[in-house]
Amino acid sequence: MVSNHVPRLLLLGLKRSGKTSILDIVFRQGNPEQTLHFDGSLRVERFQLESICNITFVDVPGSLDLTDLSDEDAELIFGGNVSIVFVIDAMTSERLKTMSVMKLCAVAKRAFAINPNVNFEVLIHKLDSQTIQFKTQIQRMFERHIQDEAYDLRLYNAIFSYHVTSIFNCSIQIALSKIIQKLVPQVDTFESLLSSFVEKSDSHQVYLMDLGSRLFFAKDSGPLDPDIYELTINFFDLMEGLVEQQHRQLRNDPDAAVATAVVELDDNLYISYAAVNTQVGIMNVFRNTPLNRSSVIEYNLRSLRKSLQEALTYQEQQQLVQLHRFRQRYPDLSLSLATES
Amino acid sequence: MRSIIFSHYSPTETRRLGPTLDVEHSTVRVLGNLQLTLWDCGGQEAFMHNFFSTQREYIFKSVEMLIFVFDMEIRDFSSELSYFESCLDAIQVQSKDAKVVCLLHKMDLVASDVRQSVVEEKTAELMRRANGLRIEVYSTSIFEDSLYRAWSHIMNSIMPNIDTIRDHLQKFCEVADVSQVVLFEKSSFLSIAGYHLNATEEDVVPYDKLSSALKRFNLALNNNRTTSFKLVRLRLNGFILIITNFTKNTVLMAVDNNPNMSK
Repeated sequence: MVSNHVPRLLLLGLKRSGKTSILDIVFRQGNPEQTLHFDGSLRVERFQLESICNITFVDVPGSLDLTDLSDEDAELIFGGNVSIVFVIDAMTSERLKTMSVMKLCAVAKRAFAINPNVNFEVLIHKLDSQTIQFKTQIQRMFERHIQDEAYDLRLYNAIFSYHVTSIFNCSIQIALSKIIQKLVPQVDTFESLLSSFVEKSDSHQVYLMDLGSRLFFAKDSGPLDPDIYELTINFFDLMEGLVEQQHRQLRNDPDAAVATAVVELDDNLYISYAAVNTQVGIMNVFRNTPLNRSSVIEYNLRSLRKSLQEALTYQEQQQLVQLHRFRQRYPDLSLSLATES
Repeated sequence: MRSIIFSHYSPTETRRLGPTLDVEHSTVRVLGNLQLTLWDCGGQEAFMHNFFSTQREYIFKSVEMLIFVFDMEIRDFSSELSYFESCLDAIQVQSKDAKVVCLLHKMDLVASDVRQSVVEEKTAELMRRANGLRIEVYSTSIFEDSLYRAWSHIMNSIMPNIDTIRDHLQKFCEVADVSQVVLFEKSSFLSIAGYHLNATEEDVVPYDKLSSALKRFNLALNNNRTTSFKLVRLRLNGFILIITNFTKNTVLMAVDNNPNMSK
């Protein structure tokens, strides 16, 4: 029953570890500097990622203790298709770091006891401008610390994924993209489509981007270049700025479903954009190519767009079919279900 | 403020800047042959005193435009005003035809609900002090688009051949059958002139949002090894927008809103 629910992503962490800031950056395109002035959250807040797949982000204030809940509540919170994102402020005092790790492991113990399939993600946050060596060092330190603590609590099978993040560059978007990809069932299909597109049209990188949050649902199988991804985010910001001034929109508007755009940069890098529907778009980054290839790319892009749309509608149809079957089997239940959906 | 418009600083980076000592000269090249010389005069009392006494002629001689920046944070507005008055005196003697622009700056520090009334009050005060001299007052903040609006106006009003440019844009607009054309300066992305096919005099489209969007994108590119962009093409259902390099120092934007034309 629980698995039918919308996928959820719980943001946990100590007070002032940066949970609300992360959500502000991703969902409201806030200014990283301004997040300094945020007061601590007092209430649980929900953000809805409404796209090809609805995902609820839940901002859980640090003051709330999720370990001493009643069994029913815990079942409700940790059950189903859920990811737990635990945010650790890596730049705080040793005492608070230890507290973070203790709390993380306590929550993990509870969550894994109820739902062994939960994805547990650790964000080592606020590493803004350190060197890569330093970041890796910090990450290793936390990994070892958490591992030790988890062993003490007899959590032998728990798997934690680690991400080093900062709100001042796109590392937070990359980390969250990787996290939501675990919740979206059709990611593999998208990825193989994008990969074959890159291979056939000699492109550099291609992303399937959610237009509201700028997170990507899929990317070709090549290595990710954070600079390039940041460029695509900036390009979309620019487009949104330009279009807004003309009183038009790039999202949730039928006119935008066929939007295309291209930008040519000085070092012969091109970024082209093509909307798939009103919520997601393809960002294609490619190097300068001879003229006769540009038509190939355009043709491939169009067929990629079409296949993605097919993949999306297929999923909707499947859901409808399942619902239909379910209703036939349990005619009495259908009323309550219809109101729920 | 000058650093943001003319030297690619982002608003938060300006914290690093020290105060201006004496006079900093800078030259900006707009539209090929037109050179704009900016004199950034230090604001400390010692310098100001110098400007009015020994350097009086050097500073205020043959000035095209005087831009006086008021700090909205400051408590002692009356002493600022007395400086402003001495500036006006000097400029009227030394270069008669100079235009005067006042910027009420750091508006982001004024609470948004009283902003309107504060601006009106200060504008009235400045007008009174100007003694019938024609002055223009803008409220600005480096964190908002208002900065671009004010500076676009400034650029527009000191450009000698602005009317010719506007005529040409209008002709281009009619010939190419597009609904809107805007010309930007390349490094600052200030709008130089724009033309809108069906626009009346009153609803002139503000280009400040465009300027700041372009500027932000360019800043992001600069942080990211590339220098600039050559071409942006954006197409929606019944809507095409093209931004392209026009001449060495300008960028042209054309918008077509006509659904029949979009093939």
